[in-house]
Amino acid sequence: MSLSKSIAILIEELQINEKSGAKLYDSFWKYIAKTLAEDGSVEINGIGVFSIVKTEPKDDKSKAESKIIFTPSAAFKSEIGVEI
Amino acid sequence: MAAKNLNHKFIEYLYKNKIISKDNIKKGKDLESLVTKGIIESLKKENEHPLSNFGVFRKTSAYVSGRNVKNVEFIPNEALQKSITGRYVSKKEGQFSIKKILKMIFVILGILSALFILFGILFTFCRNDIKSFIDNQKSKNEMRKQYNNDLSGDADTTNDIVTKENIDMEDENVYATKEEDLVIKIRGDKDPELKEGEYKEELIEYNGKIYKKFKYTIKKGDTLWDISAKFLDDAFRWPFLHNINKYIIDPDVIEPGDPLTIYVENKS
Repeated sequence: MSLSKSIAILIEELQINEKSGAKLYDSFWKYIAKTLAEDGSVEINGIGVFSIVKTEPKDDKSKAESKIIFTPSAAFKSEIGVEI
Repeated sequence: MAAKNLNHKFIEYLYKNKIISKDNIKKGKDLESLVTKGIIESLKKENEHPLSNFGVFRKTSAYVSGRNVKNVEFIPNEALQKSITGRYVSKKEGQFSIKKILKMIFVILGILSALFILFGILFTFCRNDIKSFIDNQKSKNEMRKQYNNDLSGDADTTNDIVTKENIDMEDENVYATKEEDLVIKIRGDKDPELKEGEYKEELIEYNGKIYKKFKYTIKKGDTLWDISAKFLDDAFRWPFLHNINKYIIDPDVIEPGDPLTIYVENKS
């Protein structure tokens, strides 16, 4: 699975055990979620920007919503082979 | 969108949450690039890449204007989406409406009613206390009057105890005391026959009880504490001596040669 591959890279590069690798990976994304919630946006170098966008209600009955959107960086798109 | 110094803050976060130790800070510094590397390598081969409890990266493809356009999208985790949504309130939600105002009025009225009931209960209890306090004070006043009336006849004859009605407050030798809710006026005087450290003892009758009255002349080195221990058999009763001998302003400062009047109930 892709997740375990990501963790495997951490384990290999940082020379830590499996448990620490998984904990570090989880912590990274927890931190990203926390920063996103507090600041409204967060950028990961080489990947792109996560940001919260508020959408206005269409009519009186519907409620306003907050959405998380991701804007990939050109480098990221290029690296994974999607359209730039 | 301005890029944030993710590494620096993230290292702080890891350290604060005890995920890494001080010795391992170096390892955390490369984390952002390593995670990026993992995601890129994974997405090169696969169409999806889960981001722990954050969400999923998914590669998409769609035909636009007759050509296959590939893109990458982020699908947030449901819990993350909920937590983010909960933090933001739209303008419409924040605006005051009649419904909200009415709701607030009802809440305020409810609080006021609760307070009114609470004060009502407290007042009921306090009223009883106040009534009993007033009754108590009245009975004490009556007792005082009674005692003063009883004493008024003795004042001229004993010359020791007089009522507050006929006392001469200008007289330097007049001291006042308050003991057991009974206001009495005690006349004290300096006895020229008594040398420092000497005392005279006599018996007086007051309110049906016999008291020993000591006229003592303070000697050098005396304290109210010592005198209380000597005459009252209890050093801790020194405030009683201070109370009786009102000319003493500071109980820590008593002058040798000054008179001290001491009353002790004669139990024998």
